[in-house]
Amino acid sequence: MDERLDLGIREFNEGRYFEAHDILEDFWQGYREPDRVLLQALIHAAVGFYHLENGNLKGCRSQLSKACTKMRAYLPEHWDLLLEPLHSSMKEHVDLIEEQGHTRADSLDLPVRPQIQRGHRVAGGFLSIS
Amino acid sequence: MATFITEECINCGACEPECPNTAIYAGGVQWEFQGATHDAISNDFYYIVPEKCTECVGHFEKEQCAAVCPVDCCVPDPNKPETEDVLYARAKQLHPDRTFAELSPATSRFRK
Repeated sequence: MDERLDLGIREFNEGRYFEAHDILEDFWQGYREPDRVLLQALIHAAVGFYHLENGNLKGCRSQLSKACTKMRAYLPEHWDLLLEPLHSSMKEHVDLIEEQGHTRADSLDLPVRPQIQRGHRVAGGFLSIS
Repeated sequence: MATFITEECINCGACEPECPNTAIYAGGVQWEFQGATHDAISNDFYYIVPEKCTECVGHFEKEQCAAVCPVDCCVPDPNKPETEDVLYARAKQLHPDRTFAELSPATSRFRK
């Protein structure tokens, strides 16, 4: 896979969401395979958490919702990405924002930001490698 | 209806060079039309000037800003509904020196 996927995921996992989106977007623009939708889902995820960090809860909710929708077809894993934990966390964020209202980010009780985990399939489950 | 950019925009700028009508501006940048300049519609993120947007009618089969937007934040403005005829007339007005082909699925999303 393109090294920009590695770089983008690294930035995401270190909380540099704008940088993650930027790298993944550069990859997505030229990637024409059918599963480019998953790349866009990862961009939505990065932008969603970027908006959350900046207090834009409406933008966060909308972007994470789009990420969840586009990622659904690729669950539980695609390429070497273990997508189920990320998908679940994003859905949890969306649900909590909707339940608690979306006016002020600092007043919300939200879970820890998720990581994008990587791994490969082994008998009986996945072996996470990062 | 004119296309508009929602607050989900992350200011990547991918849309701006794709607009055939130069209707897209960065936040805070004044927009120009017929020799006059106007205050920015948004100071925070990219915006589309409705008076210059034709939803790509006359040019392409679908809105080019939306096609390249990685976060799907270029969307039709439900508060500014416009017909294909209005948008096509605007395209001709914006580009008086250009000869436009008959509308078809290749030049209007209304025909798809």
